[in-house]
Amino acid sequence: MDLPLIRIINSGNLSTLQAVCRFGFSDFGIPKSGFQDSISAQLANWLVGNKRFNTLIESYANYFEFEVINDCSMGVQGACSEIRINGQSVSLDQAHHLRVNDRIELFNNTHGAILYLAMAGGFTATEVLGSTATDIANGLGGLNGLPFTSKDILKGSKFNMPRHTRSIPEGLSSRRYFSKNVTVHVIAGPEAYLFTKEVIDNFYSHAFLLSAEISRVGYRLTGYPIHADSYNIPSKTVLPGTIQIPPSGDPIILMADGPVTGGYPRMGVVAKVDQPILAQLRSGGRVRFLACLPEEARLREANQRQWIEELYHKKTER
Amino acid sequence: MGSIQWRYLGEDAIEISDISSNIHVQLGLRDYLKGFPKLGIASFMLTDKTLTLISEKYGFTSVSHIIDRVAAYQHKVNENVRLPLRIIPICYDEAFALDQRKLEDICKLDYEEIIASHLNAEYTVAMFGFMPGFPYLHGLPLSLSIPRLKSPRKIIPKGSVAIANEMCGIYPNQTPGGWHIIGRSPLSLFDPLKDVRPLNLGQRVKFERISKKVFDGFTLN
Repeated sequence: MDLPLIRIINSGNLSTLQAVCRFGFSDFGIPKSGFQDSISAQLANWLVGNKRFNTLIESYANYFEFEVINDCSMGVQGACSEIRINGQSVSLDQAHHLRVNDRIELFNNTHGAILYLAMAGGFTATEVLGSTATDIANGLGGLNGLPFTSKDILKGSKFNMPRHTRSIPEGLSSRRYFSKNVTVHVIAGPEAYLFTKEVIDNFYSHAFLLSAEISRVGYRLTGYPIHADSYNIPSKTVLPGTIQIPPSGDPIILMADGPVTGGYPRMGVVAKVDQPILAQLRSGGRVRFLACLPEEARLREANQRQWIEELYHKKTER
Repeated sequence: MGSIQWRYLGEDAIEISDISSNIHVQLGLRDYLKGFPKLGIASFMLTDKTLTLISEKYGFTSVSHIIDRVAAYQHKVNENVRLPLRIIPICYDEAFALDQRKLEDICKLDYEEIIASHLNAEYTVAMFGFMPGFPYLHGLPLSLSIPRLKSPRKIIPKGSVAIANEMCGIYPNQTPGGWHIIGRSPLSLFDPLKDVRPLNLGQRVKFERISKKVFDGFTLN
């Protein structure tokens, strides 16, 4: 049974319901969508005893406010520096039980950009092609395929109060990887050969500035134009993390809602393990690229996945 | 397949490039690889002469085994198992053919000649991309092969049929876009709640001219 859980008072910027990605339809032109920062999202879901990819709120808000309609249990991770329940500051990195009429405020004064808010049992959202993730550009999933706005009511299932209140173990909070200056690993892309050695050396030795053009489709970098020898290539497959170099020279990094094909040279692809770090960079922040081999990227990703799976499989807190 | 050109696209995907431009060879290779589930390939993307293989969650079992399989692939064209011809209605009314004048100027043909040429060709669905359900149709006559618009249009209406370079495409939904618009089809090409894939890769397509009146009847349904 779906119950109305919360009423949004202040939705902030780009707030959507996200979940496991829409996999298997890229050959028909449909983006994957899903979490921009899957680490924070999985931690938020873990806090309230959900499955790793349950439907939760993803938001670029600096201030997010809502009112509780039915009792629920909340887990917050990602870009949040303070949680207030009815005006009282409460601890971060811990699940909170909320009562009818509670007023919740979330503030972001961190170097991170994206907040995740999970409710025990998950939010209710429209499932389209196997996923409830919101794809704004194509109006799929989530809440009518749109970012939600103030006054929207989000529904969920009636939850059973967990016996223990979970806290994120020491050192695992997602805030640890937020920074004004980040370095991400990049695997050389299929069109790297279209760039001279000098341009490639510059690409991997200069810091780029994240512009104000950030969305779930892509992040545009600026500050150090990169030029290819040729731009005359047919449209090819692109994935989240793909770094495209358009003729303007300002690199575009495709994100979760990015298209499935693109016609700009693909300089490289951000290693999956570092995509959450990149996603959390705020506009005005700096990013450096570090060349890495696919084998190394896969190893680092396996390590990341392992500690999350271990956290989920710990029996003691159930 | 002889010597194999391939590159990584991130740690989770590899691209086999310079395969035949024949869509049936491309689909043949894709379907052949689907016969080896242990290789760890979760999905496939076809683009211009390129097959992208995307791995399952835990990566490919062995990239060198995949390349060996690709090299071992021998294509036997069986033209008898082609997908049925799909007829797509199109209305060339000037209310829909937003680039009629430009097309006449660039192609140096009058619009009835352009229409005749567009209707006469048989197309093949070569890939999907750009946006959900957008088919890239190969087979555009050379007389209609023109570059993209210099600056993209901010709004292209849903159903617009457009041409650029050597391809024809259909915009399944309203979007910005850079191809010349030749007419409009009332056919729905992307409705995730109904028919997920109204067109398929490799399918043959022909356009059938309809009047504005018939078009209006379609959209009322």
